[in-house]
Amino acid sequence: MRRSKRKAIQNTAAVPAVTISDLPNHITCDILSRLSLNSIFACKRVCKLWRDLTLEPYFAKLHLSKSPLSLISYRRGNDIDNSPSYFEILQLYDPLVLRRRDTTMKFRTDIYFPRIHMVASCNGSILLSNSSSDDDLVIVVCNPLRAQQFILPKPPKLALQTHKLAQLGFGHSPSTDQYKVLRFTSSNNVFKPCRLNCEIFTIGIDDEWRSMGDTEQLPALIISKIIFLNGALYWIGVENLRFICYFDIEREHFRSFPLPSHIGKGFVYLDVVDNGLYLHNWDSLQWRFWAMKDYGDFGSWTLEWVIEEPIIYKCKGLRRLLKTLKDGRLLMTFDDIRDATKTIVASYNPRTRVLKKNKYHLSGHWSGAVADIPCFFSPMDALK
Amino acid sequence: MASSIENNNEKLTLKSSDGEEFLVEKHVALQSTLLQNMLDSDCSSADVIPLPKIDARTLALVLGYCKKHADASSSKQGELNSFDSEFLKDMDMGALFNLVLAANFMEIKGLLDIAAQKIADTIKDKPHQEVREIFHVENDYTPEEEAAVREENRWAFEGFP
Repeated sequence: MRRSKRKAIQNTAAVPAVTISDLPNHITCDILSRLSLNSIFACKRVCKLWRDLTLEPYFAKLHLSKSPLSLISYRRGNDIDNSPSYFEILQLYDPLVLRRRDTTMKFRTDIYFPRIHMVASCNGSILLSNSSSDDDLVIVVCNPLRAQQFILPKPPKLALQTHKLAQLGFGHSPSTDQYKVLRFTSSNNVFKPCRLNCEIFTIGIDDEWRSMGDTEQLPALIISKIIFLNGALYWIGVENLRFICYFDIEREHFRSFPLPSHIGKGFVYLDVVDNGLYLHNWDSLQWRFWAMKDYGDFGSWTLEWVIEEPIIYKCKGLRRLLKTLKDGRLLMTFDDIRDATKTIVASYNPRTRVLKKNKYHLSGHWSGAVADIPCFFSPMDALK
Repeated sequence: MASSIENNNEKLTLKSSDGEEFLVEKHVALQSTLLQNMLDSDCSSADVIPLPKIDARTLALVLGYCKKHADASSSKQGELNSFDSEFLKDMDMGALFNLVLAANFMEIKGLLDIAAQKIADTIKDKPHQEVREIFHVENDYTPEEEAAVREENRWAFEGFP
């Protein structure tokens, strides 16, 4: 049936007066931007024009507005059997289709350093590092879709032996279109925390790292991922109390606010869901999710979802919240209780209070995956 | 003039590139931002509005779409959706591209949107050779360039075991 229809199209269109090549470029961009990544990369091979259009900022903007959130993982190759390093992208379409393995896409990268792994992402570009505090520290920014990568210069050597636990943040200022990488260092002595230090590097502007002042007020320990949202970096800091901290990428200033006491004790995790900031924490009985109800109001944390007894679902180690689906379900990933090398995608329905695991398991390297929208804009465009 | 726009019975005449004239109710024509702007700026004093880039067959299709969308009330979204999907269903590619060009020229956002989506759906999940064939796109890559693009794309298509 399908075959014959295709034939009919070919026959009737044998000598078409107007072809796809007659469409204005902005419409061709519009059409291409509606495709999945697999199809976009197939279209790059069709003709030069289509390939060139995928490099246009106009196309990148359209594509970004239409693309679904994706999981992006990095698998480090090894030089023993010469296996390559690659990024793998899983586009999370709504409704969720995760049955076939070929819904993911792989992008090879030459980036290989021992122990290098994904640290952060920003606008679909990835920050890789070996998280070393020593001379062999490597920090790389990659854009998988554009096959671009940039190895940052080495940050200044740490003066004191006690300055350890380096953490990296990666953010973008929409108003200046600048990408910045931050490195935080602090003492690893929990009982006598010293002050947090920070260096910053603006891609395409700086030749070397700049030291940031203004860090005296910040809690000396960072106990969460450093995540990017709306032109700022956010993390959870601890110094006696727990704080939510942020860094304004454009203006380069820090702020920190104590977390309200109604958020339970212990570790809290920070995630971005649908452009909003969420905290979550758990014990064996409950997972609790708190939303910052009024964006920018650091006192407005509101309990949004509670998942009771997650242990009965044979899952633990919630990895991250991803997004809410159109029907209100909440999409998330967590570790498989039976097989630590597997990552499970699941959805939680707040109405029925049922957590449903997707049959599709993601193998080993997905546990460190980031959630972001792959993007044809690249930080490396500033490097010309 | 605002007063004349409110008058639903008023009609205007559109002329296709091949000389055919279409009498259209004003509220139907208003689906087109181009025509709306013309009417707003009172350029409509001419008896006939020529549309030199759009042939009669395409214009008839465009106006069919506009009429349906102008007449349907907002409560009938489901009906409009099924109309939209039927509207393009068995259309050949040549007609579809003409429709895209017309929708683009006349600035009919909804029509442009469904037509672009229809073309995207046709491209979807097909290898590049098949896309070239269906759309009669000439391969203008030299063998060397083609090899380079293939290399660029290699990891997009080869699965790992």
